[in-house]
Amino acid sequence: MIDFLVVVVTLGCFYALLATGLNLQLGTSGLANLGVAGFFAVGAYVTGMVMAPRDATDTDELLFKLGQPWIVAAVAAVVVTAVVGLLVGFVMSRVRLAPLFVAIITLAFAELLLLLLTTESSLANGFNGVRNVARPLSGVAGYFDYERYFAIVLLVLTALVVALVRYITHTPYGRTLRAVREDPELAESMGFDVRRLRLGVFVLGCAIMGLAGAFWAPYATVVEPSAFAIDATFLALVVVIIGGSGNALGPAAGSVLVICLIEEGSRFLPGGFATDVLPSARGIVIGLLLIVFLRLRPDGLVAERPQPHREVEA
Amino acid sequence: MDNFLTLVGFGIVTGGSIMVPALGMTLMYGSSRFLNFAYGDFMTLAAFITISFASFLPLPVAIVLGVVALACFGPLVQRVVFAPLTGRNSLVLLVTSLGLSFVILNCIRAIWGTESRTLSTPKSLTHGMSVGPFLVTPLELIILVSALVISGLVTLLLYKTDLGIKIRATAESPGLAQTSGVAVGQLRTATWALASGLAGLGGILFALRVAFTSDFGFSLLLTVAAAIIVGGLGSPVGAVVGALVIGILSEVSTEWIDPSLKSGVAFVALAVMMLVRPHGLFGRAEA
Repeated sequence: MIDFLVVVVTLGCFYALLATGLNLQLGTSGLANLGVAGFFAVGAYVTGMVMAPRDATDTDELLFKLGQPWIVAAVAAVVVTAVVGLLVGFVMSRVRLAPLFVAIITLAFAELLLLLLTTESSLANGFNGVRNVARPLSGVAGYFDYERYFAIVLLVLTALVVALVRYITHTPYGRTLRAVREDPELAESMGFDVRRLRLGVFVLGCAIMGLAGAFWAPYATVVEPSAFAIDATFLALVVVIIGGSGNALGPAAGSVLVICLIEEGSRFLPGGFATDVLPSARGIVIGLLLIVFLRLRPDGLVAERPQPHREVEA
Repeated sequence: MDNFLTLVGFGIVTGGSIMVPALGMTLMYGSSRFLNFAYGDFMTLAAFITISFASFLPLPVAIVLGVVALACFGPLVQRVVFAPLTGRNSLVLLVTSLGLSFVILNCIRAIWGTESRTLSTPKSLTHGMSVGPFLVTPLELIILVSALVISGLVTLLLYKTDLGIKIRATAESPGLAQTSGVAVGQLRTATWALASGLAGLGGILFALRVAFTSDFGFSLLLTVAAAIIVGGLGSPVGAVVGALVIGILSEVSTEWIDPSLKSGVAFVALAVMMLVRPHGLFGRAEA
């Protein structure tokens, strides 16, 4: 039972992190990033490759092996993901970050990355990916305890990131973002550089996804393409929509619900339940939840609270 | 050089199979002003429905039934899922269509399973033959010709008939069309029926050529979207030209890059188009 809880907390935190990044982009700026899995992958792959021992002589074909400690790798992962986000954002800003194009381009980015990772084996070892990623501080705790400590560390990190995003959305910068979301033309006419503001939010969101990737690599110890399929993006999106976009606590609530109840909770179903249909049934439920929430409760479980400042009547 | 022309030939065939769904997608976009991410799954659904019918009916009949089923399914979905969201922002429609995509995909998996399937076509149709410098199978030729004919008919319908003019008017400016006495709601249903039928036909034409799994439509979604964006969103002519451009580019690219990467060429073309000419070849620049 405790092991199950550890898995749920860990996975829940990963999705909460991804969802927090996405929530920042979608909730505060209306940027429907469908390439979440791609940015997550960039973070994880960079971490794996920066940490890979230089003298690894086995079949590992990696673009680079730097043999650096995890902390260096994590910083590199966040920076590289942010830069990639900036490049993708640059293409999108040509079309004024219109929702349709944002969705299409980010999705295309993730698919292209996955395609390159799987077919160009000289890049990152193809389907096998980066293997045997070292776990930092693994000498301190035994193998089984490690997962528990990891869950606690990740939980703290997630809380910090959520708090940070919450803080950001309450600063004048956050208010400006909200103004941009509500009425881009008005914000623009007031002298705000809407495109640059949104681009900034996009990059920040991507950096958070890269951070999640930096933790994923040592957690999974294997960074392989299959972990970064569209499903990861979809779950993050569901977490944001169900939790409530535009509210920093939403993703946390959403990930608890989605991961615990749907992704992991179904293992408590009575035996004999048609297990081959189960993944599909789960998918159908998740998709329906998304459709129903958008129709009936577009604010999600945790609604965005009105800001504590004087409303200016129009 | 001959090799190059052969690749162009493959490209035209590939483009032909993208053309039909691209037309449907651009029509649907024009009618409802959002890109339906479940569109790819419409294609998959038609292929699987056809496979089920083909088990006890002749293939051509099964194909017609598959297309008809989709032409009924599309408007139903529009009424039940999307119509109540009228007036909500495009982001809500977009994400809802993603949810719908997930529902359809998983329904297909639950009903037909996840293993790879093929539509059995007569052996005589799959032997390669040379037409000038091109290398095609009779099946591919049939697919290409039917794609061109259907695309031609749909274009004629859109530009030369009363119904088509109403459809384009509604896409252009729903409010103005309504005041001019066009029954916008009914027309939207008709457009969705036509567009979904084209999705179905596109999916079936694709399934005739290669083995497919439950997610082939979703993975084609981006290619089709790339075609209509390169051609210019909402423009039927753009969809046809864009499909050919994407088809030829991706096949010709195998001259220089790994063939397994060719599906990525569409995405690169998409990104380049955005940087160079964001409104596409035949689209109009907005403001």
